[in-house]
Amino acid sequence: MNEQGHPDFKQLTKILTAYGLIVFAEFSLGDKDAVVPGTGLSVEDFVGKVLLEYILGKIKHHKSRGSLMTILGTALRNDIIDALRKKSHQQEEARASVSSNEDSETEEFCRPALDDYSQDSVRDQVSVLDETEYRDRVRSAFDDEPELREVVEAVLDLDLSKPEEIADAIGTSALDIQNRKKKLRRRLQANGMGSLRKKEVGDV
Amino acid sequence: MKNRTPEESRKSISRLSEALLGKPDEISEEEADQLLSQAGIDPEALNDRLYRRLYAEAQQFWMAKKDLPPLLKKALEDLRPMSAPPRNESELARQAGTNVERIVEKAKLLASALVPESPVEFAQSYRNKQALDDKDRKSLDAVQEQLKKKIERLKRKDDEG
Repeated sequence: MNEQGHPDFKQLTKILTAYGLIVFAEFSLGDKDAVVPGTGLSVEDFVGKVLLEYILGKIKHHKSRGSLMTILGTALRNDIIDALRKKSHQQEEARASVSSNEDSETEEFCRPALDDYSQDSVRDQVSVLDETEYRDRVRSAFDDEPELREVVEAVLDLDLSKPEEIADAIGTSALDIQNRKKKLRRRLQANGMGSLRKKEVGDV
Repeated sequence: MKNRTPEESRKSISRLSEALLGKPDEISEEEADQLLSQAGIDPEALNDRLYRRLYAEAQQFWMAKKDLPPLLKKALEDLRPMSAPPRNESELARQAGTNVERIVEKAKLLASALVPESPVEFAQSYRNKQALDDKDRKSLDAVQEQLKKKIERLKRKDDEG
């Protein structure tokens, strides 16, 4: 941040794009040219949209709600998930417009930003928001590396979230957990996290 | 698992993701560079593309004869491509400095690519040549020693640099 409280946009762009790549990998969208099927939207498109919303004041940053990076990252993540959730299987080159996130509550501003997509039939939706499937994909993605599997088990089985709690549970330091999370990110981006299955009729 | 609304499911998955993979502000610039490079994304090209997008947005303000929002102005300044013509002397100096840094970085990379990391071992195929006498072998050994020393010197220099 400079003296006016303005961020360094080069740094914001770089870190948000890196984070966007991680989110894409979480949902099985692999390389740099990957787009959310049916929308034509790439990581860069989502980053550009979120930054523009912040620049134009549609996303506001209040320190009490976390760092700017976290607020923009949450908006980015939610936009990607919403696009995946509402994706159409018809090919589209690009999205014409996006709705704005006018309120800026950390969770509230992250309400669906892509409402202008038509809802697919239930059968056509992938199970993006199926938590059981998400857990299964996480387990199988990191099953072959004991260090990473320990973190996965602490989070999924013991419901721990803070690095200190995870460190206590597996008998290591919080710094080591941060390093393992870094490895998880690198490994995820390199290998992805398994395929999303098609949602069947009746699935929630 | 109980039936949840999409909002609840999204929050729940995001909570797991945050615990496992961290928040974006846990990603350092250095790690971001590595992740972008792993994905084949050039950060400069990424900035250029975003700059063009923001410039198009700024044009709407200019056409409407409105002042640019401060954050848009700052973003355009931060992301202004190095290839854009400098608007003043300090920008010219900044561009020149960055270009020199980039050339030095490339030269360093090239040098480290040329100098091997591990100790050099020569394949001494001349040892088995029948036509060589002891004097020839000594000369060839001396050349080999000279080469080894030269490479070691370069390597030390590279490590110090």
